[in-house]
Amino acid sequence: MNGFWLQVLFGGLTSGSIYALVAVGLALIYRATRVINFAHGEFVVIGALTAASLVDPIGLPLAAAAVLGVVAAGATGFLFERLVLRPMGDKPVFVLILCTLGCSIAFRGAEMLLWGKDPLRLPSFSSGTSWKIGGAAILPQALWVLGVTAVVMMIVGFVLQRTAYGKAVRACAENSTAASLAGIDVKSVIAWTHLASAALGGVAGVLISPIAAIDFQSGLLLAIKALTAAIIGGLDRMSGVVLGGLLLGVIEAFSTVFISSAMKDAFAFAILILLLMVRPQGLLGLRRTQ
Amino acid sequence: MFEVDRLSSGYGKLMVLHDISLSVAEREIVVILGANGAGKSTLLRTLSGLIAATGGSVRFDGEELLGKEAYRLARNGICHVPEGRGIFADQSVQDNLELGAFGWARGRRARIAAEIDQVYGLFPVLAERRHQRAGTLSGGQQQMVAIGRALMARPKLVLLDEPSLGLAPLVVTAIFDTIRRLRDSGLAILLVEQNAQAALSLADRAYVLSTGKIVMSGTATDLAANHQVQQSYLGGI
Amino acid sequence: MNARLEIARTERQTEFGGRSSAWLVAAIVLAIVPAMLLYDSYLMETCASIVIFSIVLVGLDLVIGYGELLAFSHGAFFAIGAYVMGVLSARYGVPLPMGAALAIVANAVIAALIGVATLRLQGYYLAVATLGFGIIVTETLGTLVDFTGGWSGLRGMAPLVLFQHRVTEDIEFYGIGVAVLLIGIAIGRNVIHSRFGRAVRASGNDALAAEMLGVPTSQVRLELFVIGAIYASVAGSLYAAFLRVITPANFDVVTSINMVLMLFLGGKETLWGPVLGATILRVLPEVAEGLNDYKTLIQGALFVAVLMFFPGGIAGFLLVQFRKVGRREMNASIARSRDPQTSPDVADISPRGASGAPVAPYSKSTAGTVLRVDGLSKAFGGVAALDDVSFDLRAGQLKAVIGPNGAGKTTLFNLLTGVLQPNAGSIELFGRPFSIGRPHKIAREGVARTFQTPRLFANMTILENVLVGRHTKLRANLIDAIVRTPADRKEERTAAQNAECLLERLGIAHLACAHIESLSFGQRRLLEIARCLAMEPRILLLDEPAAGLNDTEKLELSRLLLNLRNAGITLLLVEHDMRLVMSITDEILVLDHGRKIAEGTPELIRRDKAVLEAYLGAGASHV
Repeated sequence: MNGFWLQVLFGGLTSGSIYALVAVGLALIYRATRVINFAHGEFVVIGALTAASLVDPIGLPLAAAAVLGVVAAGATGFLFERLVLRPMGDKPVFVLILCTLGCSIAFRGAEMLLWGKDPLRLPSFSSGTSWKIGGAAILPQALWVLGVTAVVMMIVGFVLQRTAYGKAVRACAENSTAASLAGIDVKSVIAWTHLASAALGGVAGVLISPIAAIDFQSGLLLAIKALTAAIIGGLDRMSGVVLGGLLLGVIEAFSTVFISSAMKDAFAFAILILLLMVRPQGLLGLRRTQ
Repeated sequence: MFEVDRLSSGYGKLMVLHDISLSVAEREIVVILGANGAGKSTLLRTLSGLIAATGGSVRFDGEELLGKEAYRLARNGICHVPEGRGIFADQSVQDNLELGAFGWARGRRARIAAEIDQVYGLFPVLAERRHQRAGTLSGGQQQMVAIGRALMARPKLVLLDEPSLGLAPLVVTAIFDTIRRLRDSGLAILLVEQNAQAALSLADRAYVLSTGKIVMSGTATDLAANHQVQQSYLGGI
Repeated sequence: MNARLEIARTERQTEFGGRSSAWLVAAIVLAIVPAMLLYDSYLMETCASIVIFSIVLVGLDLVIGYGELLAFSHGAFFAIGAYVMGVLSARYGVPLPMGAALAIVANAVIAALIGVATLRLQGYYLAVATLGFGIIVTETLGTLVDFTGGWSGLRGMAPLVLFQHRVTEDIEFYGIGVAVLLIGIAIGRNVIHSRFGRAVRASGNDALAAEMLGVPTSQVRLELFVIGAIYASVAGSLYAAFLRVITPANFDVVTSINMVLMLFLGGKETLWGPVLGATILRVLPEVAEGLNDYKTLIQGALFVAVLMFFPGGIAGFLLVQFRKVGRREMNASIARSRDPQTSPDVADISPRGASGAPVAPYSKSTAGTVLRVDGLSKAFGGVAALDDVSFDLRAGQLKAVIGPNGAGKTTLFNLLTGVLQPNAGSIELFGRPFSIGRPHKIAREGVARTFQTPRLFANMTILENVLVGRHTKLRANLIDAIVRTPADRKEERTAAQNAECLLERLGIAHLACAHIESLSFGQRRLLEIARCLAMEPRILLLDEPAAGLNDTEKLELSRLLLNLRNAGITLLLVEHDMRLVMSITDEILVLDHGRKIAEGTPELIRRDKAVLEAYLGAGASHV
């Protein structure tokens, strides 16, 4: 019985890691530009579908396909910033929300044309059957997800907190005019941040693809879920964003057991709305005075 | 050293500046006076590359700067302390100063530390508060952070937009003393100031801007004595 | 003067569009009719669904366009409208019209609950919370198979029967849809140009400024949200009756997003623009059948292109073309009428009652303390912004608060207007304890306030800005707004005349219908004061009124302030300009580092040691 709960918890942490990776990408862009990119989920889809299609019909080795998937996602993010967000300049939040939602729809249409309507899958990273840990059966791919996520998070945290580039990102977020007067090339900082953020999405896509089928429609819901996770944890703090992602995964896993798998999204959003009523800044967010 | 020739600029279709010509030499404080809306801030914003000029030329040590982006000008030695200071309120004083060196100092921590110490020497109060969030400082201290951050970029010319704005007179005196000391240490300073009386007492030369044109120029003492200037800008009624 | 007022009125009519846009709607609808007569029934079906979607979009335009609440919940309300009626009919045999009525009630209740939960949020948070709500509704509909038939759809709805006639033909649904749509647009138009509509637009543009004028912004938003849900509900019920079989997929999140796309494509803040958007988005795939695979891509790209290049949508583009012609004529007539002799007497915008007579100064019996502040403290994150400050403000006084930046002056204003809650101390207003709560309640007590940089409503005309200031003095409610009762019309007329008088004295009556951009900074400041005066305030708080003004304007300002005081208004101002402060105030309160260091007449303050040291610095005696 204990093994069952452990397994549910583990499953939750696995999908939670994916949410966390996607949410960190979202939060990174939010930090640098105060824009929430609703098209962010599409980078996950592009990463996953690129890698999967490179392995299956084309026959590249898994590792190469995975790397190219991440590269494709990063490049798309870079172009997306160049072609859409940069020309939008400092339009009101209102317009930016709609614009990124529109892009999400356009990406979805393009993905359908490129990869068709059926989901594609990558093979698992390492072969072998599931491992038994404390009575729970754990897929090796789940360990890959957890391991890679942990490493990526540490790198992101180090870069943001300790390096000049990380401080520059924060400076751009707060006051881009002042940042450029301080000699920071704001445009290139933002472009690189977009690339990094989309690549994080690609990593999430490649990691999750062997476990969950990703198709052209998966992106929007993933973006909304990741944003939900980020808001639950608190958008202003990276630790909060990661915590929110993990929490959302675990909540969903348990709600699938207790309520119904068909209602797990509904349950997650109900929690979001309740949380926003009580603590709009998120669990770890800082309370702001207006 | 710094030569502006027939510069014009504006926002979109709205032209604000027409044929502005001025110069700033080394070790000189030049002040720009003018009523509200005369285009003083627009001039500084154009000179630092925040607004694209529509015509004219800006030369710095003989090099044409027009059309370069703001961050490049900052790396070339022209540092603009904008109106409202533009500090990074959420980051610490130390991080604000470090960011000033972003253009040249990638990774050279020892050099950054040395230059930050110089800024702390100029503004000892900032040293005490180095780990405090800049947004929690008083207005005068924030102005010090803004000036300090500009100094970290190793400027040759500093553009100061109303450093006295919203500060109590005692603090203004302190800030003006600092500006004088910076000039004496070899910097060129272009200052926009509403407080004309105080600014003229500080400056070497001055230009008077009115509806986007330079209508008068001369040494600070001449202008301070000029009847017309007294009438319009020094508040004689 | 009369000529100018005349122009102001005619301008207002053209600006509001009057009948012209109603004609446009009729034209669009009529344009579709021949198309469907010429073509087959399939096109007729498309027309009917266009009209039904347009009904949702009118409600959406009220919420997103005018109210600036970017909520994605209308798909959910649309679904609830369809399903409540559908389930009641299929499972319990309730007739469709009654089911639709019950759906409206259900939607209003749900919208009110969701509104209370989410409307406090802004921007991204509101967007994601309402998107989430949409997903909750579709998943729930898909899961409750026993009631809704789940994802395979709800069947067995009775046909729509109206006046003993079974409605089955597409063209009949089209006709009903057109009728409902036109009524919807008419109601929307009435609402937008009413007292409520101005409150909606003001809250959308600058909620804090609206609160300060006595507009209960949360309540206004909630009411607007419910109105939008009712539009969606009616459309949803009609859609269900039209389709006969409905599935949750008809109402998913992508439908919600597509509706917003239609709104922006057509042009928001016009009410009729969305009809264009819906038409284009539905007709396009029919025209280009071969492009079916590219449909999603094209829709998304179109959306982004419109946002980037035509932020006003098609309707906005057309309106700009119309207005270019209109404006040229208008300018010519203004030029003819402008009287060069009468320069505006800014100093004379003293308040007058509705009759135009000056408001009498307060009598001795009411004279006394109007505002008593006792031991007021406020800290932000441990830093004391205001520390144990006490003072009195007596009726008819003109008092200034001075002090170095960061002394706590603006914090004091924010406490006095209820924007912030104090950590300690009390405020007594007109002898009663201060009602802790929303700032609009304090505004209603007669406290008006201006901001350091004028916060005008950029989405409204100058006249409308003043009319928002009149909000608390008007009585019209939502019902009045919807049906335009004679009493409401009369009230609106008087209010407009009143506002025009204020503008007249500012010398900008000829600009009454222009937008804020055409005003200079000084005029903006005066307009903000005029907007406060429309409230007929008893206390006026001015935050650095002289900042950014030139010397002539400052002189006018000081005359104006003295006039206001003579008219009986109590004034409290924060100001840096010592010359102004010293020359007009009765009393000065000096703050330093959040503490009161002195209080007294200008002469006293000028000689006060502590003040000289802390604030004015050396050599201040000759200021």
